[in-house]
Amino acid sequence: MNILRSVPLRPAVLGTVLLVFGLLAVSLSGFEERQWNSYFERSTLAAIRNNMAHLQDSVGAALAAGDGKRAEREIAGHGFNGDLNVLAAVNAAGQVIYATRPSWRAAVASHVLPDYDLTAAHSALARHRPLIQISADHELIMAYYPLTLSSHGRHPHVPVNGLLYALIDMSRGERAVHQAVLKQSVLLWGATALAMLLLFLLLRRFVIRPVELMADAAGGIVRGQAAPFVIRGSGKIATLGHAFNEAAITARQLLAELREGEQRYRTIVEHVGMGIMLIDDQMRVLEINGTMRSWFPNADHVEHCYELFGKGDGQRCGVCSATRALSTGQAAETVVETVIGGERRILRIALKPVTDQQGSVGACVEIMEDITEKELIRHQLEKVTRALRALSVCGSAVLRARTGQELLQQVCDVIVAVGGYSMCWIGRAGDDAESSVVPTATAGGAKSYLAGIKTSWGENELGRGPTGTAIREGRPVVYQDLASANDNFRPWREAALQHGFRASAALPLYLEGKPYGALTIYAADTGAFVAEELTLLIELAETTMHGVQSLYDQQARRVSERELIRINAELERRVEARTAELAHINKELEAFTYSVSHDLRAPLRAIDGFSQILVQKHADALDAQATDYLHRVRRATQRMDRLIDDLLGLSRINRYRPHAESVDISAMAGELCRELQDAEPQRRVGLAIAPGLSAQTDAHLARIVLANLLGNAWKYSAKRADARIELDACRGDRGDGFVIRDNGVGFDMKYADKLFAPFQRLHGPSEFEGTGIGLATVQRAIERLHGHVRAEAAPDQGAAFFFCFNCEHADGDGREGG
Amino acid sequence: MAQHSTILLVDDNPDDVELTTLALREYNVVNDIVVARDGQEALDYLFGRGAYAGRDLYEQPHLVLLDINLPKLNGTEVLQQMRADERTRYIPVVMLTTSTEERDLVASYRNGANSYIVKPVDFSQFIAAVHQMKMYWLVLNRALHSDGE
Repeated sequence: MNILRSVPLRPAVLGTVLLVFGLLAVSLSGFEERQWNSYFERSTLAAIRNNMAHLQDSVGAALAAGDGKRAEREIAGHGFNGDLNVLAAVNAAGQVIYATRPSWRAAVASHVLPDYDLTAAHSALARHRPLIQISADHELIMAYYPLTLSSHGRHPHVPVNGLLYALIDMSRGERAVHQAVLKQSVLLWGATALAMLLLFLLLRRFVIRPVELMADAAGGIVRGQAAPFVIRGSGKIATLGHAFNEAAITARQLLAELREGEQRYRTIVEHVGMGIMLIDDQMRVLEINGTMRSWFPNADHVEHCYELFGKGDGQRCGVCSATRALSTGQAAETVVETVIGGERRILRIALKPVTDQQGSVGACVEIMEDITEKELIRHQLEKVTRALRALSVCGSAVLRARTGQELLQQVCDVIVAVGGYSMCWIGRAGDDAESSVVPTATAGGAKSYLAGIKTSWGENELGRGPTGTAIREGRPVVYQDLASANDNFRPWREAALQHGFRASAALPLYLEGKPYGALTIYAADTGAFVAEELTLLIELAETTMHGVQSLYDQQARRVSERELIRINAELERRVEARTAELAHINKELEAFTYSVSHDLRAPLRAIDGFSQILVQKHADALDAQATDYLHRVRRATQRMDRLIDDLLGLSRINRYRPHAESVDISAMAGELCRELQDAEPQRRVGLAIAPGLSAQTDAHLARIVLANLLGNAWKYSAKRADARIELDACRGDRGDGFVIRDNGVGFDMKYADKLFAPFQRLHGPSEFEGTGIGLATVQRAIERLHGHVRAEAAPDQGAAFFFCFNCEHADGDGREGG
Repeated sequence: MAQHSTILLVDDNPDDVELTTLALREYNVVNDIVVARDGQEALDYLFGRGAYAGRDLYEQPHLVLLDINLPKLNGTEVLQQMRADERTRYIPVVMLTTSTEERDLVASYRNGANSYIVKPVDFSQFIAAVHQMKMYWLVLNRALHSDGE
């Protein structure tokens, strides 16, 4: 491409054409020469040899016979191909004995015969063999043929030897013809060359020139400056030109876009906050961006990437993965520590291999990110997280620990094990004369350190250290670098450094608001305590002391708790004893009730039975008064029987287990009233039972309540002609309930408190029959149903009994009202 | 048939025994009344043991009036043993007691009592009750006899 562009197209084509034709001409003439020589050899010389051989015999014979005329004829009879300039016979003495030019006869051959070579003549004569010489220009041929002259002479036995010499001029004849042909060929080639030249000029005009223009335009386009070239005419070339122009415009646009994109990309690459470097497979730096230049001032001058990190002489970074990325073609990542601008920085280098079109890795992009701050934050976050975890674990230790001492020890253990610190100890502020700090809990191999040192919290040399200061002044004391700590730390520096401690934090501890001591933590790194971490550690110290406080309180509480438990146990024992006693009493009561029902009746029956037998079967033995007494005895026994019945009913209510169901109160009341009416059919009582009343309660006990209250209403309204009994719903403070009203004799409310007590009666037996158990039974049944009952009445104004079920826990004074 | 029916009255209270006997004889129907004073004596009579050893066991009572609260063996236990024995299994037993307790009622019927009567305190009522009972069990009711009679 470069070569083509540097040599102009026209001279190249022209030179090539001329060179080809020159070579053709030269090779053509050489070919003609060789052709001629070959022909000469094959044809001319052969003819000459043939003629000469014939003449040798015939002329020799004629001359030997001394017949010159015949020799002449013989010679004339043979035509040579070319001009036979000379034909002469020469004898051994070199004297012409015969020649085609008579003037040469008898003369010395070498003197007269043109081009006669004496040496060649002697050679042919001596060896008795023909010899042919050809002039350098191939135009003259000299033939020397030995002749055997006849022995008819003076020496008849010795053959008279001689030569037949011929000189033939070849400059005319066949050679001339050949040369004419050659000339014509050359002319033909010349004409062809001219035609070619013409063709070339045409080509140049119509093809080469436009192509050159296009090439120039393309070059211009590549350089981004040329406009599309002007097209004249039409035809394929013009079409090509148009196509080219279009392609050129597109290419220019693409180029412009490409440049713009590249510019943008380059701007980004230059200004991105990451170092970007392109290296080749030998780790030679190919390109770098601005960030790299700002980080490494020598970046433009290093050859290999690793030199940036201070590794010269082919010594590569030990940690760099560029080699791996280049060899495997896989992206790699590495973290490198280096010094930038005098500061230690941490770079994360991402290595992305760049593959060429063949798929082989020829280069690698290194993208470097400065992660120093991130790493710092991560490191600090880790520390804070550890502190937080330690705080959390200490929190649960507070809950688990049983004594204050145990808690302090656990906290130390946690700070070392979970918090990741080298050592930790808790010192209590002693109240001895030297105000020494007494270690109460230690963790992390602190014992050997503490054994070798002494600390005080007093105002003295040993009290100016972190622990003493923290206790005395009640503030955290932090040394971020113990090696360069101030003189206050001098008494402990050597021991601390020996134990590998590089930083320390002493946190004051308070118990009940008074200084208790200090929690001192040592770390193996300088600057180990970051602010958030310290906040958490202070919180940890406070939590710990809250826990200690709480454990001390608990210990005190535990003593009183033990006493309380003892008293509780005693109480429980007593309750159990009382419960057993009560159960026993209940059993006895049950047995008693049973006896009452069974055994008290038997004597009654005997009294009644025998009294009746006396009255009926022994009446004649009794006077009227005795009979009356016996009747009184019988009434008393029957009254007692009812009393026993009622008492049994009352006691049964206590033993009964109620179960709730939906009870139709209206229906139940109606039924009971019918029973009452049946028992006393002569009574006329106005009944007003509200329909649809119901309650969720026990049917058996509800029936007992209704039966007693309705029975009372029935009984105490007996003396009224317009007796009236009502049952209705009512709403009271305790909830929904019922009321049973009558217009009977009523009672004085000042006796209301006696109303529900057993055996209490407000009317004498002469007024109304009764045992005094009925309302007590109602009261008991209502209690079993978690309800409430009360009465309102006035003498001769009737009475009203309000009652409700499942309402005993409601607030209020129990006053229901309609 | 009821002319010579035997009634076994089991009661420890002499007053009750007297009154019951009076009530049984009130309407001049003469029966043989055998009185046992406790549960053990009742069983001795029924199975011919103790004081009643050698008694003709083919002559079993036609009705047993059994109180519940008895010395030695109570009425329920006597009933249990009667019902467990082929010879006494089908003898009608009427519990005649003062107890109105539910549990006594349940225990009696569970053990095979034929009837349960609470003795009224009023003697007139008592006589009426005993008369009705006697009429029913000894006159109206056809009993099944163990001996196949």
